[in-house]
Amino acid sequence: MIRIALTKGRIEKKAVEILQRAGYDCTELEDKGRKLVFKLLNADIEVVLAKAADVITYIEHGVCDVGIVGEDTIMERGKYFHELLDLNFGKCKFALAGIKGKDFYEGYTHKVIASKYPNVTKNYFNSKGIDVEIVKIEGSVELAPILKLSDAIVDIVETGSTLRENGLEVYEDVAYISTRLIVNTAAIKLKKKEIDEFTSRISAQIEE
Amino acid sequence: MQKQNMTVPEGTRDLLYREAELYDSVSMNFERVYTQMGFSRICTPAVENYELFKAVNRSLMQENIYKLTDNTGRLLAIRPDNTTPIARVVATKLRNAPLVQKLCYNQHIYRVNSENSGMRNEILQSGIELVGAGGIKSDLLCIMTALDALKTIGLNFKLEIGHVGYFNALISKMSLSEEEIMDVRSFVEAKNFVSLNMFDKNLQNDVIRKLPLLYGNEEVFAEAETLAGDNAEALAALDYVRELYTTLCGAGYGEYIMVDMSMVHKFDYYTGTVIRGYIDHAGEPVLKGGRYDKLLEKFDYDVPATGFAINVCAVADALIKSGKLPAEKHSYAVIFYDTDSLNAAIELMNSYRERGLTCELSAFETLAETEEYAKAMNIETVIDLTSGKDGDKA
Repeated sequence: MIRIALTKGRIEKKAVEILQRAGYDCTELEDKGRKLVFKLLNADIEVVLAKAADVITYIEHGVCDVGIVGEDTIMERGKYFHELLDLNFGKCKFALAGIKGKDFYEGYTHKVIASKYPNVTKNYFNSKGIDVEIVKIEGSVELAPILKLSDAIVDIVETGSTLRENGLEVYEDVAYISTRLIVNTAAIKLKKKEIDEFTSRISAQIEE
Repeated sequence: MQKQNMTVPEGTRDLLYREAELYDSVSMNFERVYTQMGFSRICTPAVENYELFKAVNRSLMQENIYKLTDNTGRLLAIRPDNTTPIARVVATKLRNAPLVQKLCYNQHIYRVNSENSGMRNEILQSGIELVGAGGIKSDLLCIMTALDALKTIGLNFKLEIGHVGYFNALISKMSLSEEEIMDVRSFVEAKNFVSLNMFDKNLQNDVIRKLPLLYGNEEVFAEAETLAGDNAEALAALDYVRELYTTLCGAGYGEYIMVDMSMVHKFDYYTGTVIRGYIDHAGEPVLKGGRYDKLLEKFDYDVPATGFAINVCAVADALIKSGKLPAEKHSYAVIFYDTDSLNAAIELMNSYRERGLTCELSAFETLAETEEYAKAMNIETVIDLTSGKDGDKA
């Protein structure tokens, strides 16, 4: 038996489509109710629905074998697992953004960055060798530069319309994001056959 | 006392009763395998000079080591790794001792992990180091010891074999910068196909993409051979693993072993054969090890060495998850006595112990308390040697 941890919400919807195209019976997942654990009826596979960061926790601890989760969460949170496939949906990017027309690198003052993703932000500026102060924000990060709490933000950008409507713009791209298929490090060896079969069936259904 | 001072630090835990016994029995089973195969026990201090670890192991991160200072202000580390101190002992105190030195240990390592990760900061490791032999027989001895140790756990297990020479030989032909090699190394180790593909976009190198796929059984050898092409060094590493694999299959270990030619350990002191062990119900490898022929050189003692460590905590957790706790133990009897009957009580207790039964002397002043205790502890028999003359029985 393999157990899959699936990120609830948008990723779940698209992933279920792929599972169905790959020939898995997702009847239980279509009529969920309040259940949290589901069976794919024509395979020895169990699916649990979880929040993105928890998907990674479940995979790292080996209580689930395969996870489907966004690269944004992986970059912020994850380390100890294998990243096998780019499922090529849920595409967006991490970007550095701020007040339109301003030059972010101008001046000599210590820059302050607001973000929901402090680790992504820290790693990005570390890799550039630039000191910044990071402020963790939980809700609408776009407010921070408007209220002059920060010089810029690092956040997920899909269409960029929220930025535009608030007088902000992308200064530079930080990283490309899409949905990934990850596997526990022990399961990939102990359940090689089952996981190989699952990933090859899924991989055949990835849209270019 | 403040409540927060009455809890254990993050990543550590108290062990009680059967769980504590489980840790003992798991590590003692391992130790029995080691000592019966001729390994001798070694214990090293829990604190060492900080520089000892930093000097030999670049991949050990400063932030993951517990640090303190000694009475002269020098920096000390609480042992984050068992192999380095043992290499130190061999290169100093055992420098003139006959080789091969076969040592085994059961002791903790300490690592600072990030908060709320659910990872252990105190890990009991049980393992061996085999110093002074470099041939295939010493690799076989190390692997067979690992297999026999894993067998004592009683759960389904696999041991996989690799060779860092294969990866190193292939990567050195790609004219990459040191930084790029580090990246590729971590992507291959993590089987991160997505990042490898992205890395490979400019490189157009088939080898990089296919490397992490080289795990499984016999079928791996043919694929790995194709991938190695005419790279003699890579082919030699591959042949070496094939020989180990065939020999072990011939010796009846076939069902337990696998191959992973892309295995590169996080610790960069490994130089040859590398191994990793997995058991059911554990979400991470429980055994890690391999050949480290250049480590003792750092202590000016140029001898080859190999070894492995088993994470006893992870094994115990897996056994608990699988429902295999040791049976609950109860004392057979508790003896209630008074001053007059003390000698008779000791004699009776000893006669039970000689028969291999657990027998307790009562720690209570009254029979009633003794009976209450026996009931709470599931002890069936209460023996009263006072014949009730103190009136305790009422």
